[in-house]
Amino acid sequence: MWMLLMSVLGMGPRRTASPGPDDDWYQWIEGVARGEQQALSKLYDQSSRVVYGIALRILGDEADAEEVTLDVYNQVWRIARDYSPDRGAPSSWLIMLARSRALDRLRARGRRRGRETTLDSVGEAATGGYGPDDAAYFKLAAEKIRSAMTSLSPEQRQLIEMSFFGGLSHSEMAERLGQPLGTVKTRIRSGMSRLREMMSAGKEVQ
Amino acid sequence: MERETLRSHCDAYVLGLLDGEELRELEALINKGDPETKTALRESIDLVAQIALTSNPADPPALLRPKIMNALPKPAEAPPQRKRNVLSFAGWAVAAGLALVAFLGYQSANMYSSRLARAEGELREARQEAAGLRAESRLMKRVMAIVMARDTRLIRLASAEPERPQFRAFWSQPTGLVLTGVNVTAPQSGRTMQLWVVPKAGNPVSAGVFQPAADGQVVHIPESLTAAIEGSAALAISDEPEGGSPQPTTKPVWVGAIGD
Repeated sequence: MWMLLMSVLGMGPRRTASPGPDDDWYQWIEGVARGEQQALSKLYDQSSRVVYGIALRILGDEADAEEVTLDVYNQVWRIARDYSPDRGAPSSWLIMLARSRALDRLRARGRRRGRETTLDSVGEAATGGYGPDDAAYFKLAAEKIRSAMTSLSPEQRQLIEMSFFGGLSHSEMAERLGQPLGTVKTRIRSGMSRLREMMSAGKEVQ
Repeated sequence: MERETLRSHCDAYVLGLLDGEELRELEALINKGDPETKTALRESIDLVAQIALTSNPADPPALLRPKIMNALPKPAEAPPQRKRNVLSFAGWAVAAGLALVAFLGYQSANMYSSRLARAEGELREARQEAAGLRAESRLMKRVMAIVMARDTRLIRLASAEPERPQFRAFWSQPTGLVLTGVNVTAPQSGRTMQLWVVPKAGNPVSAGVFQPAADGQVVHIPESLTAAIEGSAALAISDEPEGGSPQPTTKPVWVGAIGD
């Protein structure tokens, strides 16, 4: 999905046939690296709802999410020249940057306040959200990953989302869920393997 | 490392879950630039990033966009010229010197002619005035020697109060220092301005006191510059009691970094 750019630019193997935003995003990031404010402006317009949504999901607080979003684009402005396709597709790079900044803030806040994903919130997150104003590729990507997530067992899904949105370690998740550490590791490993299988090219998500 | 194990380790690494021996092993492969690891890691980043899309997008506050754009640093200025580049400095120094000569000469001529007119017939006063002009002439020669020296550096002293004018200091290691300013407001009665050389460590060292002329002009050459400017951090000007202070008693009003 996101990786189309790599194939188009010959920077990686073709792995999906889905359309992606990364040809535009790559150019914007290059523009930002040259100090072009207009490029950052375009990148913001296309991605800020996703970036802010991730920060809000992780932090559960609008003011904190706003600060994180500001930090993310400020950081993009400063480090765009360091971006390389080895760090993932441009959209992946931006999303991981947003996750990282939000988790930093969460840890600095010293309170996780139960923001780790519960089974209920997984269901909540998987409904709606992307509207007519969002780019088509986001809608398609979201639809596909959400479908892929439903192919996981509830326990696998919960652990993967706790890890991604909560930034919890294996042992923290094991402690909170009262599960053996080995079970947690195995479920995440098998869950990610299943996700990869579902998301890879040529696989139809049920 | 088997392909599936490598993928699994990369997934855990991107999620921040990998630790212990497995982490060390993967980092060793990354640092080695192993191509298979590089590919697996990139694929893991792309896969893990998509998990974010299970969360709903949300509209950030409308003011965030201008806030971000306004907070961006301004485009970088052209890199400063090397301060000791004698060739590139020469043109500037000549221009600055000529400007200074013209400026001081104009001021002197004005002062001379107006005072002569007022003091017509008063020979003593005229002689005093002539003596003053000779002193000014000597001062001008010293200023010119400093400004035109091959190693002269320009140090701008700015104030945090934007309405205050900027001072300029010209400094040459063998020839000395001259501080110049225009439109400078005189300090209050019983007060004086004092120039300081601020070392990188230790207390500021006085570089003399001065008063602006009635027209706001300042040309100050410290008579005995005990502080080594080379290697010092800054020049500063503070408002001090008449006669000056051994150490600053007020916060500096003007500061200029000396640089390397």
